[in-house]
Amino acid sequence: MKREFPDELLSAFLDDELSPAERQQVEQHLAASEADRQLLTELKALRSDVAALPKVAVNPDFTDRVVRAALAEAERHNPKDAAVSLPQPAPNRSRRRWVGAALASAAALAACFLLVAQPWRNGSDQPVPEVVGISLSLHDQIVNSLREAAPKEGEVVVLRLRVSKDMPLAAAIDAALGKAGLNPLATNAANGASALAAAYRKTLEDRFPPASPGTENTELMNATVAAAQAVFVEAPLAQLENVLNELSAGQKTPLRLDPECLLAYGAKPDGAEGEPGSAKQTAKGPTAGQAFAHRLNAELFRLEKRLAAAANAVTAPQQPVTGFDPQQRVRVLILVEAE
Amino acid sequence: MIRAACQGDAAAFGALVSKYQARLCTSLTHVCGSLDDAEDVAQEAFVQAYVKLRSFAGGSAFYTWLYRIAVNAAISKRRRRREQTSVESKREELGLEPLDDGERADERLLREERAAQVQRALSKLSDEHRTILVLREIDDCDYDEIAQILELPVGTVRSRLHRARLQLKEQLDAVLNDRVLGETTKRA
Repeated sequence: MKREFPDELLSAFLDDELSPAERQQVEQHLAASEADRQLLTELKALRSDVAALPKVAVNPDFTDRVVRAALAEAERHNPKDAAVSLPQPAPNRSRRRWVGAALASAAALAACFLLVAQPWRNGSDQPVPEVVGISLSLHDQIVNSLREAAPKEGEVVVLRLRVSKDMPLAAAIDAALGKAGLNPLATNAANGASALAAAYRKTLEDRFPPASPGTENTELMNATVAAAQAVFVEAPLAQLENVLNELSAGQKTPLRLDPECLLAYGAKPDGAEGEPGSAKQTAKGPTAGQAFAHRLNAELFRLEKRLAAAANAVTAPQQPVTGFDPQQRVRVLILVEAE
Repeated sequence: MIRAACQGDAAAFGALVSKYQARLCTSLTHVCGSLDDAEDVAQEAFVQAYVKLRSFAGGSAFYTWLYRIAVNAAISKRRRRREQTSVESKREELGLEPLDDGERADERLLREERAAQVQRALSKLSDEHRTILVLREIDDCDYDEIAQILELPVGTVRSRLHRARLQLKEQLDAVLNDRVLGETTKRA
């Protein structure tokens, strides 16, 4: 026999989504129908069961990952068009795309350091603005700063990567460079990479001088964090991305490019002090002309965060951003740390 | 916050993500069948939302708008993967965490067992039935919000939701029968 009562009203009754007239209809029906009273009770229990399903614990890096992906995706779109056109499918945590996005954001921040960190670079004691926090905002002026800063002679963006301690670093880096068609320039003193290495070390030593001449800079050595390998690369952004992708391929945990661990270094070798071998050697300092590995000071991380925040606070005329050019050449010093 | 994000403030957008990510990922986990897939879909939705923020007219709540993007992405993803994987996942695979550490062990065991049965039954539903149930029971959306998210008339929401509940009840009964049958077979 066909039921006259539309039983979907039971669900709506349960959800308090009925008009007064419908509610009255349901109440009258329930008073006469034992079966539907039973059904209503069961649906109520079922609703509670589903509502009681546990919450999920989102991965801790989710927010950061999403923001980076969104910034990268926005960069790919002309902002004017972005408001009216649908984007391409999102990165979906694709390792390749993620590394690229992270690199773009990180490089933008790092380039910003290059432009504003002059007091630090010159060893000056000028006060650094105390700004709490670090913003990953990819402001137009930062993007433009990267475009402006990257090709400058003697400037290098330092990227810090942390990888699994199980990774055979030296072989992996060589393989990654080879697949990307790159050679580590640090093996060739003529290209200036070794001068950059020496000047970089000198910058550290300037900030953390030894207690007395002739002694080891123990404060620096004790406070620093080991970088297992370091490699200087000058290449188009897209090619550099390939290197990072290769490094991350096959790893148990994705290669991390943490913007808070970025250091920017823009020392232009300045005469004899910046020449290979002329700077004071520390016990574990790099040797000019060799592939080099640095120790980085924890204090520098904190300093760099303040510099980064100050950089973000810099006001500059807004200019239209057309996105990163994958062929734009960048110079980076990749410090690879095993953890 | 939304206005700031619309103007390209990444920090404001980050705050929006942070505000909605747990809610969105919880719902999407039950729609997609795994936390990994849910995070992928949620990321895709957030990224699309960021790119399209300027077109967000504010006619609906931000979350409703975001969820509409996410649900469409989730259903597309499941359709693509339907023949490759089953949504039937163990609770651990869903990445779900216990709700209350203070409860007794036996109570917790019962609750977890019940949750596993409900999840198993939920995973056997069609995409449209599972999605509407998640929206209503887990996300606590009212019929108007569901109608906006799924782009359906409210009348259709009402009838589909009821059918979904009946289907879930049927599947849950089947799961329980399977369990009883399994235990009987073991004893024999």
